[in-house]
Amino acid sequence: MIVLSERVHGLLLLSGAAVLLLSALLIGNGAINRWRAVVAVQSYHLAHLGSHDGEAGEHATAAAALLPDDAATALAAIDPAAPNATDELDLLARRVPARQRSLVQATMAFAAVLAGKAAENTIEGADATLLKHLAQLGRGEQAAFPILSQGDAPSMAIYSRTAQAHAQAAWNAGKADALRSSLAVLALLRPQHHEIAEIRAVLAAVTPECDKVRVLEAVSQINTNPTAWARRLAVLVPARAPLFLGLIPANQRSSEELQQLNLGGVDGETLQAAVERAITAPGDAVMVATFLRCVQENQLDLAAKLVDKAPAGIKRDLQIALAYQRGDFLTLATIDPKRTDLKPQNTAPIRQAGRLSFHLASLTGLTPQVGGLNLRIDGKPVAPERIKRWGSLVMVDHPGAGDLQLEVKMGDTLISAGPVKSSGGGR
Amino acid sequence: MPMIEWLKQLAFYGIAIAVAWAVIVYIPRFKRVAVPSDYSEISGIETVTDYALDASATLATLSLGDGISYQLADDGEHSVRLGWIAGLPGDLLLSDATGKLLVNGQAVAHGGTLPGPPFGPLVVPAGHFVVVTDTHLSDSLNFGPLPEIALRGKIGTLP
Repeated sequence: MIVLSERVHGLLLLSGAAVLLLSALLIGNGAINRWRAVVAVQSYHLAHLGSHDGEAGEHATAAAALLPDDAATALAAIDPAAPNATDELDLLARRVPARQRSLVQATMAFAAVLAGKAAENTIEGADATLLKHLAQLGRGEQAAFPILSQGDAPSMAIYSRTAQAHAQAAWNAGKADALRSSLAVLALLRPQHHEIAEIRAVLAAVTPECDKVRVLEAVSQINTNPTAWARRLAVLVPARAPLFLGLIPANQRSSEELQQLNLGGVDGETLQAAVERAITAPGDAVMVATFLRCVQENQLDLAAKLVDKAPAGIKRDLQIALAYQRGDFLTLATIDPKRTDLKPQNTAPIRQAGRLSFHLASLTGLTPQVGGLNLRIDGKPVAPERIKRWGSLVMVDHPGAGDLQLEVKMGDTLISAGPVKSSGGGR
Repeated sequence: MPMIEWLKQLAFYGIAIAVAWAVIVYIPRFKRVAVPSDYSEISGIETVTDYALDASATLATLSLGDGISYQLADDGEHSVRLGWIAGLPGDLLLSDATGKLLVNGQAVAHGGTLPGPPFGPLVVPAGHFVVVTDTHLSDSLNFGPLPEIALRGKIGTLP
């Protein structure tokens, strides 16, 4: 048995105490650092939650400095979109405990996709699905936004970024259906987004189940340039265009928008009601747009009602347009006798097999549809029942031989008059 | 030193460590949280009183519908926010056209009718939870899924 002197024994105890004290100090320092890092990470998350990005960055850097080998603290300080993110994450993956490695690998794959590189196949589940979609978007390919399975929780950063990228691509492509799937995710994931009012408005607009009231509620929350957004939404969702165009102040609507608005009408409004509204509406634009809608729906009686009430400045043009639709040569000929383009003309009459025939049309190709055609042969009026018409062709049975005199009139307006030879025709 | 003395000292340190462990683990389960008089995010809640708070609760121990206390950015040390858990990591959430919130296909009992256009389906991200209140002023509808670090604890009895 070795007997130590009291002195040596004292030195050994002192050394042991020093080692224990040093260990205690190191453990205590580590614990304090860990506690400070946890507080810094908490502050980082809370600042991030409040959209205080600058403050969040400071907390993240502080947390990473205190605990550089922990994924929870180190990842907060690494921006996956940064150029050197992949290298930093690679180093981190070697330092962190094995149980945290999958988290770092998912972030590495995220950084790779953001950098336009292929993601490693080391990750699985929701994150892998989302990153695959994000990579597709990066290549300019379009695909449906992935619907994740219940129980397969993704990373918040990857989920949010993918939804945002998908929404941007769908917006650029003007695809309302594709927009809905990603905006419906973003609306809950990022309610503090600086454009959340716009996100919710677009989401409401592209959601068929959303009734008009909810859509208008959502759109009314847009404070930045609401008129421009109303125009964008009208283009994105044409079925709801009248709803959005109606939000544009009347003095800022373009003529095309006004026409579109009036053609679309108010929801549930009949054409009859639209005509009544147009008659009382100030200005000419509403009346013109409603007139065009009447013509488009072949409601010429309603169009005539508008013509009767039309202001003097547009009345003549509407009369001509209505007369054109009706094929009313009589009216066309009387509105402005000097306009040759409105005046009907007939081709040289032909006499063959006991029939006299010619074509009657205006220079613009309009054929007469409404009565008012008067023919006289050798000074005698031809009974209306003897006049047969197929489109522009006018035919009269006239079995007699020899040359004759033909006079063509629309109402009282003379179209042509002259001789017709007995064979082959011509004047 | 006789063996009995060593054993006595060992027992003393053992008991001290056990007491410390019990304090660290169990004391958080018996905290209380005071509700200020102007708190209006949950209808029917008794203000100017305090509620039992289990601060040891984690996302792994919580269930849908549990009453919780949570915090948001810029909250002071003593500010209180209360709500119900409406989504845990992996839960599938969506709201229908009537504003009803469905979690994993089931309607949730709290939160009433949700404002805004229908959202979802989406899966609650890892490490996050969705909380709802009656007014939705400071719940996940306005702040999104909250990170676990925003959880202060589970409230025993929330109206």
